[in-house]
Amino acid sequence: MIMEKSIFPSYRLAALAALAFLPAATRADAPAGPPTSWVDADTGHRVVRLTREPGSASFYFNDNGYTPDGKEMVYTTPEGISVLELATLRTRPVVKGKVRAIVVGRKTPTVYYSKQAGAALESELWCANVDTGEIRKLAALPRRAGISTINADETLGGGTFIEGDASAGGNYDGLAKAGQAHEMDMPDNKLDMMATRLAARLPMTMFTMDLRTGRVKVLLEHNTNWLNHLEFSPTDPTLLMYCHEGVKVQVDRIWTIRTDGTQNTLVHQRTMEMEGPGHEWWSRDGKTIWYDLNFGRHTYTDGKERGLDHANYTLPIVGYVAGYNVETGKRIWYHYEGHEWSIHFNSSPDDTLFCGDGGRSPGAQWLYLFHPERVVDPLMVRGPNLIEMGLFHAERLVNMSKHNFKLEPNVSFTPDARFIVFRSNMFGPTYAFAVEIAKAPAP
Amino acid sequence: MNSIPSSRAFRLAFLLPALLGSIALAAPTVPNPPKSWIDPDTGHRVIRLTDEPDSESFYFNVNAYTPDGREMAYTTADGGVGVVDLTTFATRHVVPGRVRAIVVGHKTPRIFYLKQGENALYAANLDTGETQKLADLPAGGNIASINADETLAAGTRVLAGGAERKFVTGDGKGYQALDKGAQMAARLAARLPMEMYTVDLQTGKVRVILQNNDWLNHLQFSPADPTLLMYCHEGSGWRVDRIWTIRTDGTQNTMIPDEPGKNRIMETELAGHEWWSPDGRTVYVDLHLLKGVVGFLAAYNLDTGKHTWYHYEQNEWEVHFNRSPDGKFFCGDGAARPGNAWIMLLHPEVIPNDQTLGTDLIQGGVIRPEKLCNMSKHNYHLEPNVSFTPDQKYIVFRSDMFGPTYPFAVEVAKASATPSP
Repeated sequence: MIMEKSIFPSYRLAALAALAFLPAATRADAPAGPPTSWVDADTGHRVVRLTREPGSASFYFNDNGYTPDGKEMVYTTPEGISVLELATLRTRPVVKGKVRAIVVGRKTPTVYYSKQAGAALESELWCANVDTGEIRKLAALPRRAGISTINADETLGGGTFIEGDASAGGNYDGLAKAGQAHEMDMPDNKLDMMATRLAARLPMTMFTMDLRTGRVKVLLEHNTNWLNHLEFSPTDPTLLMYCHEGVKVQVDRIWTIRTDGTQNTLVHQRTMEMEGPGHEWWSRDGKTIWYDLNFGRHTYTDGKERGLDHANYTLPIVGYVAGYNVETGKRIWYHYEGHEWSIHFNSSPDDTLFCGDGGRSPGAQWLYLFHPERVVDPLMVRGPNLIEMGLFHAERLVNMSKHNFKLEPNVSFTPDARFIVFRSNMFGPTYAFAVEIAKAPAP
Repeated sequence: MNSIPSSRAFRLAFLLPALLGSIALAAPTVPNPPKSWIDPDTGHRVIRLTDEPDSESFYFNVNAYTPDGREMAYTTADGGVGVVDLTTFATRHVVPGRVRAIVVGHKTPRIFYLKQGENALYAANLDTGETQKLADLPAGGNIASINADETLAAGTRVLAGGAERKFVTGDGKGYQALDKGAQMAARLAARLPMEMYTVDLQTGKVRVILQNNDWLNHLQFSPADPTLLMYCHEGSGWRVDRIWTIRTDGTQNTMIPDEPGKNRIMETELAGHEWWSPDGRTVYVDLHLLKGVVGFLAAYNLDTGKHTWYHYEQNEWEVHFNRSPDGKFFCGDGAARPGNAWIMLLHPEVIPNDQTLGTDLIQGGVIRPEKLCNMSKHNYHLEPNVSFTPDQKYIVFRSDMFGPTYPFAVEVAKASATPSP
């Protein structure tokens, strides 16, 4: 076989900017607390703690947290929303109060967020310019609605709401949430709660909101699929990806739709029982939808011998990160090993590298960098409808054995593709961290 | 399953033979090889079925067992046909001289074979020794299969002149040629015109049922339906839509899809080493989505159109798989890769389906391996070619682990304190 070697980015040492040289723990004025920088003994990669506030966190893996110039990253704190200058690690608060950060704009250095209005189930959409500090209320949202994405030119928001007072009596219907030990942790009974919510088939509306006028345009209504994970294309303001949420094998998960309500399109057609596509995201250029794809899962029973507090755990039997080109319809599947399965995968801005945040299963408690290889053989069959085959070659970046995976690490590449940002509770409280993709120089 | 192997290493192992040019040498000859022993690594008894150096059992999907299940035909050292009693393990010779054994009948205890010098099809009764010439073959033609009621034979020939060659070494001992891959690629590219025919075993009448430029190979009649013939488009790598069935009247020439409605979804997908279930309802095939990385033992039920894919780990990959008569087990003959050189008993498990959304979905499964016989002394250029005996007590294979090739049987049950025969 002949392989097309993927082109790994060459790291220009001269361009290594401030981050790697900020072992802040050595500074005299460093506050007591967890280390601010260290080289992971198992991987040789430098890890930097980005935030100082206990309970602070980087964004969900596919929610953009970076300003358009790539220099800053917005993150959440118990007090509100702050911004971090990536080169200096200097931080400043942007929004104070109990708000829900949505995403940072693709065009302007604006963080969009919602906050509860006076009445229950009523909230408002706001935004803040992280450079100027200017804060604006954009619109009141429909009752029970949430906005979860902003389009590429920042003219539209996208959101959903459950119609009327329909309720599944659980956590996933926009009503009150049951308590968790930590707000960002996944509840223990998440799968049961999701099954209950899916089975309730609550009627939903999906809409866009004009960010200047506040006008709501309905894309789907009285839809009893569980509409979730809305993500606008990062480049095409008229293209919205969303999912049918629920137990992954029991739904046709990933869809795209135009902002005029046309071209509602299923992205992945299932071929096997127990085949579950999940955790989709956009490539930075808006051409590819990437998603995790499993063909069933092995159940292992040796969890206790391998350090878990329970016997059973599962890993994919066959796992791929699958790519679907929204312009050409062409697909490529990158195979990864079962123990390299990650709760979330992500891609570098130019799609030449991938990363994963691992999982709690034995052997899987790592943050991974994946080097993709496109498999090419002169004898294989080529055809417009055939899926291209690739392999992930995994490299471990961070030992996550001290991390409690009830908090999902949620990896993302920094815009310069030199670091992978994640959140972790490995020191107790949650902080945002970054691991350097290049290996640390030998001491 | 505590250790999770890396597929990457296996993918590399697939490439290595091509890179290094492996040498097809038989293992050194062991004087006085044991007649029977208990494999110290597995606890299963292994029995050498003949005392004839260079004798061997049949290809994995070619029936060697008499309809009553008591005897097994094998190829003798001089290229004739012998038979072994599966209860007493006594052997006797039935067909002398160099012939090409085809298959044992599903209805009568007859071995069908070609006398290549005469270009003629013969049958010999394994019980009575009665021998009968059945038909003369078309020039350059062969016979590869006999149908379920033993009324028809099926074969192919190249029309451009010259017979199909088998890609084995010139020593006639069943070793695969070192440049088999290159030879196969060249043969496929030649696109030689071929025809497929049946031969009436009563009248000797030849009936052409297919003519084209595909490389027609691996003809296997259904073991249950006398009018149904499976065959393949042979070729190297991925460039063939492999498995087909055709009726003996030449109608219903149909590709068996790898997936519901499609023969492949991926560029690197390839299938091979297909065989029939004994009831003639299911075709099994080794299906690679990427060789050395993702593989399934795939089953396709011709009655229902239902697909089941049993995933195997790469250290469980087998050159040939086979199935037990009752369908509860599979077996495999291993491969010349690290951790792979074992005769294996394979336990299939279907993955419970939790209300997956969709129609015509492929059922998923896994196979759990159990090692039966250590093959580390075996040279895998000789393919072991496993098959279950009809009573499912043994898995038969051929091996050169003692130097010359012999047929062996490994007991499916673990050996007890009381020695077996």
